[in-house]
Amino acid sequence: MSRGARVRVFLRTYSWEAFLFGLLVVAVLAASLVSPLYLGVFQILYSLQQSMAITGILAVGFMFIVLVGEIDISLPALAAVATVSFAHLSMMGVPVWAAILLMLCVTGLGGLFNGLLVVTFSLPSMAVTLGMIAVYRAVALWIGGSDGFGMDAFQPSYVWLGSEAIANVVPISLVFLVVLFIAAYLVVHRTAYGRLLYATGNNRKATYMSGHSVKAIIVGTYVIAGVLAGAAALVFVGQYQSARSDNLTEILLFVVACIALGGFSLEGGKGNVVGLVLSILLLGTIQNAMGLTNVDGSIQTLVIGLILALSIILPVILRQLKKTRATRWGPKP
Amino acid sequence: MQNPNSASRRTVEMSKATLQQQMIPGAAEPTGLSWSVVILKNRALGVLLFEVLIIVVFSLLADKFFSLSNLNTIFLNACIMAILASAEAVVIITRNYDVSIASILALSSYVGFDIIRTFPEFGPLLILVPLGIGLMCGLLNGLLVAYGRVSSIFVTLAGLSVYRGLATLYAHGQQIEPKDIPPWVRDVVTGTLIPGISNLALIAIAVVASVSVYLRYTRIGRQIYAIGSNPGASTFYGLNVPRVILGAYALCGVLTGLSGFLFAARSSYVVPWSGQGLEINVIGAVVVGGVSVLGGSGNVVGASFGALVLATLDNGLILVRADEVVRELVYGLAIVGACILDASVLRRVDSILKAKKRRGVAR
Repeated sequence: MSRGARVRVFLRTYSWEAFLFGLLVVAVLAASLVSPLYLGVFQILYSLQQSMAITGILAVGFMFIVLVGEIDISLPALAAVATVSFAHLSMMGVPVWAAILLMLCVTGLGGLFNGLLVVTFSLPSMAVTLGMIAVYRAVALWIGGSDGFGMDAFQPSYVWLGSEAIANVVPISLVFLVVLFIAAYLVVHRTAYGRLLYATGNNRKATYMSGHSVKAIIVGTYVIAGVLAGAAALVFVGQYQSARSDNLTEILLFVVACIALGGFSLEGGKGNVVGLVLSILLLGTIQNAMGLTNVDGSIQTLVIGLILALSIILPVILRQLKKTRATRWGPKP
Repeated sequence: MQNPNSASRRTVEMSKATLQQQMIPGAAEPTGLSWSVVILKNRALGVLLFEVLIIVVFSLLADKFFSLSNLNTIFLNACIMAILASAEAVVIITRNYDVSIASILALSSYVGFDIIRTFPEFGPLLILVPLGIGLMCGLLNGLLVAYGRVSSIFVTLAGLSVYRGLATLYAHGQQIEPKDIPPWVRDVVTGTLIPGISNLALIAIAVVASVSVYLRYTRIGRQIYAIGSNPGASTFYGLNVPRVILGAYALCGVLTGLSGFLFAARSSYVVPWSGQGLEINVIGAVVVGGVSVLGGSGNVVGASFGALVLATLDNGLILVRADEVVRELVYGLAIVGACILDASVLRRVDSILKAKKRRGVAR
């Protein structure tokens, strides 16, 4: 293949990612134009951490489930369980490594439970996890009480991941997020398990027929998402230094916006990690710019909704254009 | 020339004969459906039985529960939820979701009441405003879901934030105070057209009944079920699938607009953040009401009974002084349990159908 052809193939395969990258560049330029405060390493990193660290971790977990064509909307509630549990463990004086180990196991078990519910009874995941939201909120309420925990509940070691920064510039949670991105990329795009995720999402029956346990693959994604919900809870505890049972109720919109904007489909088998990373960066940049220009909170939600709508409408229009061009001039050879 | 004709006639006669063969023993045999399956197939009945059961249980546990005034309160609390659940059920029967329902409620109630406040001279005619706003939101959702072929969760989640944002933007930090609301609005809800029964209950019953009749006995209603149970087959049969889905969303929007009006008329202040998070309760009511989220089965009456069940649970658990933990837990378990029940019914019906097919093949 000549270089030009290779570039064309690349652009056609990764057209959505290229588009997202273009949008990201535009967003960064626009942000630096509307606010003189925007361009600054510390500012950008700090605000990305504030707006996107928790959302990003949850979105990576969500991505695994979406790739196999399922959904789990109870992840934020599961993370809320973990936040209040962290606070409780901290008050009991449990050392932080034990608490982290315990909580990751517990949220992993929560994910396992969701996944087993979905595959053993072959239930529609949206409805089941809707019910599980209430169940996890109940658990969080039982652990945390109606008042929750304040700042004084936490030992300093517990808030380390969410609040410390390397050399006071690079937040540790962002480093963790980057490591997570790389790990997710390797797992999804470089391992057999990753290929099986796409296979399951694209054609569950064919994957089953070729001798793979589809149920185990799906349950695996739920466990991964559960563990990551625990990690997100740890970052949350560090960032806000508080824990209540109704934490993280609003975050689902942002997580799903990341997934939709990243080029995934709820049918499964579509989208890749690069798209997810770009969409997380894009949403983070837009939120940062809106925050710097003092845009009202409700308008911020409106804008996120509009971006989500745009990411839905645009491919539809492009597809339609392609179709009309194909019918007018016949299909390309 | 004659041969193929006669051959085809023969096959027709043959198939008729096999059909009769199949039907005669089928008629002689017991139906093969046990009573439990019959109840589970008419799921509205099952939900009603469950409702009676929890009423009995709560009456035994809390002495204040079984009184006319308390049951009346439960019923009135369930009315708006019942309309919302019917709206959601119409969409869910087509195998889609609408999670923007609470935001549509807020937008239609706030903007509608602002217009009602500004133009008092038009009077009750202005009920059409919230209905129209609901219709437009529903059409917007439906257009994207039906013609864009995008997952309905993505589309309506965008709707959730956009409609809520528009409502907040429109309100501009204001709220509509009780003194600004014309008196006829209150009469619509609290008045009694038939003595002893509140208008709200009448409206809810009328809406649920008419939507149920519409879905069951009209052509478009049947198409909605057909599309939900098998979209591919419906397309091949020649149904205009996108248009029916658009219609379902439009109906959902109008009903939500109506609920928005009733919701605002019942509450004293009208605020743009009303009903936040309500979509979860609504979908919960639909699921508990025996409407399958896989589409194509269940009905609106069941969904409204689901709303009644959840309202009863809410009221009863408060009266027995259950902790909030217990309330949330019962709520979640009800939804998960309904899902498991639904799946097991589906599997049972499936296996019965398969067994019938096998018997047909054996003959």
